[in-house]
Amino acid sequence: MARAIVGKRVVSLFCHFALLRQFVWRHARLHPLIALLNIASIALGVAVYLAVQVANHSATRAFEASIDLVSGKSQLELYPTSGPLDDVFFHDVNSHPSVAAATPILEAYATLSDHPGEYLRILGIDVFTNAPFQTLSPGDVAGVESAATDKATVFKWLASPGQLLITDRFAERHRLSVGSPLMVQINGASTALEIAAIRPVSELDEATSDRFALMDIGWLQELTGRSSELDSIQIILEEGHSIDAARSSLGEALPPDIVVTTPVQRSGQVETMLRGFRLNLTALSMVSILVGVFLIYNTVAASVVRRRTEIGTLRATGASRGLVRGLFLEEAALYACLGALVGVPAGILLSRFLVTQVSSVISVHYLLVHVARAFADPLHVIQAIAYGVAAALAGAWIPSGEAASLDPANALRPASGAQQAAAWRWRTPAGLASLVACAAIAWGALHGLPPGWTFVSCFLLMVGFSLLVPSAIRLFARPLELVMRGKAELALAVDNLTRSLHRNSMTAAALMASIAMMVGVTIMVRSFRETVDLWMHRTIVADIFVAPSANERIGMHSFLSPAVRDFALSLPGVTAGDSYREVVIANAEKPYALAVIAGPARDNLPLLRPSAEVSAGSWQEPGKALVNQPYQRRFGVEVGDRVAVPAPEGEVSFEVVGVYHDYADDQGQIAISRENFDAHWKDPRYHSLALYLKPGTDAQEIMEALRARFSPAGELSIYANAQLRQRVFEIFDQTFAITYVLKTIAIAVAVAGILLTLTTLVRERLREIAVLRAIGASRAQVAFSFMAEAGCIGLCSALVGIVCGLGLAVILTHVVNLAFFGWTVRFFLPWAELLPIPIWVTAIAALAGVIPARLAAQTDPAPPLREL
Amino acid sequence: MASHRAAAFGLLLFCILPSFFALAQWKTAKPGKNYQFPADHHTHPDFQTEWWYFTGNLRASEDGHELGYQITWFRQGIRPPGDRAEVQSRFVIDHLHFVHLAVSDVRRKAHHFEQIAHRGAYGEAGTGAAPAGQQPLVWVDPCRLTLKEDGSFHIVAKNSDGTLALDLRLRPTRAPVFNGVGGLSQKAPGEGNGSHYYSLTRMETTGEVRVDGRSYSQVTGLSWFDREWSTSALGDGQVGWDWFALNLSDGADLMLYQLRRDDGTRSPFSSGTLRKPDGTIIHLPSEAYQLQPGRTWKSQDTGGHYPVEWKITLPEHALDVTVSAAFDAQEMALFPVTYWEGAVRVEGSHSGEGYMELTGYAGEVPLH
Repeated sequence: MARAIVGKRVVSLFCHFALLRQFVWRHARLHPLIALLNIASIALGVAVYLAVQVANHSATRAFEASIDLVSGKSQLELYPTSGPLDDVFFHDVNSHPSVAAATPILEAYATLSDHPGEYLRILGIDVFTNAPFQTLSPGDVAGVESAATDKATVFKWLASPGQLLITDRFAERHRLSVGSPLMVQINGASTALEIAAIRPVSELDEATSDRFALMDIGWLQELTGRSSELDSIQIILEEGHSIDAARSSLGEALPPDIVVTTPVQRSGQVETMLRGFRLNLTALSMVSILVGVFLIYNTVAASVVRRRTEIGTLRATGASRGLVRGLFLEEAALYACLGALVGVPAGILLSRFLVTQVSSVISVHYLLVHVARAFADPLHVIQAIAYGVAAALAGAWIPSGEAASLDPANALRPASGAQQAAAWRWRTPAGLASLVACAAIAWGALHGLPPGWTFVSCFLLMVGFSLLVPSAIRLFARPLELVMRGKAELALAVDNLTRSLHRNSMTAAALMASIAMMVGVTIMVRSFRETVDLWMHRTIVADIFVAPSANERIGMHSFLSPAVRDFALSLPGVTAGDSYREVVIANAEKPYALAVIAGPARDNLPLLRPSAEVSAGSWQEPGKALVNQPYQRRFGVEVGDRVAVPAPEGEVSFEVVGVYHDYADDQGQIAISRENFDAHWKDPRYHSLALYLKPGTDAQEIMEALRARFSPAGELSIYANAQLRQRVFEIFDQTFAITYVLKTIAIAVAVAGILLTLTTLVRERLREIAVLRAIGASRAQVAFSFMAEAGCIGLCSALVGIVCGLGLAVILTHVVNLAFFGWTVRFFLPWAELLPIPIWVTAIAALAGVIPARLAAQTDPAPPLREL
Repeated sequence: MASHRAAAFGLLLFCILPSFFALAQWKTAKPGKNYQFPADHHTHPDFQTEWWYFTGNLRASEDGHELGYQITWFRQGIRPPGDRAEVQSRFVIDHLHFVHLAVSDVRRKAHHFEQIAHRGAYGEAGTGAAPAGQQPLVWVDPCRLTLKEDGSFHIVAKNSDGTLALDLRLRPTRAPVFNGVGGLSQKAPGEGNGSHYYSLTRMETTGEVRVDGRSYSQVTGLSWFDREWSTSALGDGQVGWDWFALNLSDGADLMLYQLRRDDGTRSPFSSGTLRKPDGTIIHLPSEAYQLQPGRTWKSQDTGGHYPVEWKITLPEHALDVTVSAAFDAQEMALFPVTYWEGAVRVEGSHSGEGYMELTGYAGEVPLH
């Protein structure tokens, strides 16, 4: 009995698959383009989503690998928060009873003179104590044929300066061999190093970038002028000693500004720093999935209309509603799987490109990272496929419902339009409710909700306006009717607009959403750019700026030699030189920076609440400080509060006398005068110089003199005021480049939607068209009517889209920037860019209607009329 | 843990082998050296390689328990004299220091050993300048060698987990014996390929020894102190050497070594020194003695086959003895250099005791 039931089930399953195969294949053969479009739309969503996830994941892996290189085997590490770590402490740490092994580490960053854009992270290690911590060392004999060569290597390594151990990949790339010289720039000066040994990088984590080299710690101290300084001490504990006990016991023996922490916490810091950036990228990638949903909706809706006869036949021969719905959903799922099959490899390919972009943006704005290769976590691939299938099902849901609810008798009769004006009433109140919710959440995101909620509010905004589109169309229809009363075709177009609301509103909504996104992002980016421009006017006032060129490319790792300042000030025409120094406070939870500013002319930081007194320089008095806006937001600090900064002798407290705008940073900075800094830190170094010239002095001459003396091989970046602003904009534009891509995709997709929808409409209205033709309308008139309808959709969408876009811009500008990065961006409406939008959108929409219009025009009126 | 601290110091010992490029800048051993004491007990930093090498046979006074010990401080030059530019960093070192420590428990046939090396960036290894007594002669914490004002030596040494310890006072009973000819012990052909080499052959030793956690608070015996410094290259084809330091019961002291070549023959630069009971010092060129290896012992740890019994004949001096290891397993299985060094007993025409060193039987190129 059971076997019979199972047998029956198997047979029925088999039949079902046979039916599905017929169902899909027949349609695909007849309309291969639609099939391809289905596959492509899911493939796009899957590819973009996967690419972003892979890029994010690869960047994480790269960071972890670079941290692992130094502390992969450590249980604890020691590092200084603000001042240097004196190497005298290493001995005490090494002899501590809990410590089984300890090793000192020094890091330096060098740029390669002959290969601009490349850098080398040089790790100074102590071969005597490093072995338990690292797999790569100069004495690593495994796999080396000549033991004698190795002995000579270690000898030279310890005896001579400038000896580097590099990876085999790096050596290959630059055609280096043992003994080759390598010209590098460190701290704005050129030096020649020598390759002492080459080791295969295959022994390390795959994600490790090959842009690192090892040098003996003593010689690296000499090379960077940092003798008696360390960057960290790595520790392995004796068995049976708890990490927490060791941590507090070590902490007691060390100065107050030395942090003892586990390496896990360090990579946690990196995660926190990048969280905002990552979330934004993921949100962008979700957009591509939504695009997929929309496209599938359109194609399935179109195919439902095309296959009315087929559906009618199925239903008439006994197929249930569920079966019909199921068939359409399964078809969508099938296309989704095919789309995923294409999308996953495409995504991985795309990720390679994206990884480079992501890593350069992160390097420029946050932390230096080089992502050596893309890592696709299988989990992300599964997620991407799942999203793809979900998107397809979501898109196909409504049309498949329509298909299921078709009356079989009606379906079998061709050319009877579906008139579903029912039950739209709920849309308008739902839309309004959505807008209210959006506003509430946006307000919430500024006052305590996690920043991620801003995307929810953006989504609610779009949904709200989409739901309001039918009402909007109806509203527009009335004045349009009045305007178009004269011409019959136009009047017909407007009439059709409202009568086919069920189809047109969906299309219009999609077009509206695309336009809204385009408008919103354009306004946000322009506002940002204008704000930065204004800000630069206030802050970038010196005539010439000098810094080590490495800092521009790989971050603030190099210092400017005091000789540069002395020389510059000695030149005729130079009236003053301000210096700037950034000290990263590597606080265990939320790292921030100290901005040390020297020079009376640097009192022009743009305050949130202007105060003449503070601007005049009272913030430079002992015990006072300014904080930038991101700091204010991240740490919840207001004017009048006190902040405590860890210094070598203990915490130093400053009174916050003002908050200033700062768009160059999103982690938080405290600005203090150089005098305040020197009082508590014994560190005369600085990162950059700003020179002021007497009026009439030729800036070019001064810059040339500096270049000739200190930068023959480009060791320094020397900018005149205008050049620096230009450079800032270059970086700005580069960072926002991806949004332009988005805009283009959005429009292209919406236009495709129009095309499909109108084609569908033509089919639905075959009878009407036939009647029109029969009573004397010419082909041209019929065609024109369709184009006009398309144009009206375009016009309505554009107008609603602009309004929605303005709302989106407000959220993006005021809420997202503030919530995620702590920036106040001034709203700026680029009228010149916005005003033409309705015009060209209408035009494009009308053009999109050309093909359906032709289709309509060529319809033979006779067959539908016979069915009348 | 000891393993962590001791892990892979070996790679540094590769530095022991002088690298050819630097040879030219170090001082080389030349004939005609006039040894001055106590100055020459101290370090000679212009030479590349140097050691302070102690071996001895001791007995616990309580129960006659027999022990042997070896402790050697090595100095290997890193920065040659001409190339010592001023540096600020404490990590840049001129010399590499490390120590080998071993104690043999004869009754239990147990051998315990360790190798310790330090960078010296924090003063945890180094050599002391004259005058004696102010600073140790040489130290690699926690092993220190101090020269007292009365000319005796004080050794204080421990291994990293404290299971081995030495606290010995050594009093020389004889004047130093100079090995080689004219103050130069030639090891290979060519000028400069030799060393300055002297021995304090018979030192009365008292003190305390701890082995495997057991302490022997009163031990006495005799120690042999070998001092050598050089800047020389290994001769072509030399695979190892066998070295003997014997205190004979009639009061004679005998030092012999042979450098073995890869073709199985003995290098003509092998030599020895005999100090007769009456104090005469006789240089023994290679022809003057025969060394016949006997029974071999195979090491489980390294697979090396060491001849632990030898027949030594000095025809001209009526010496015909068998030298055998007090027990077989006295191998120093260290990375990267493995060698056998242990207490031996002498029988035959003369009796006595001493130490024997066998290198080059377990793969790696030996120390020079």
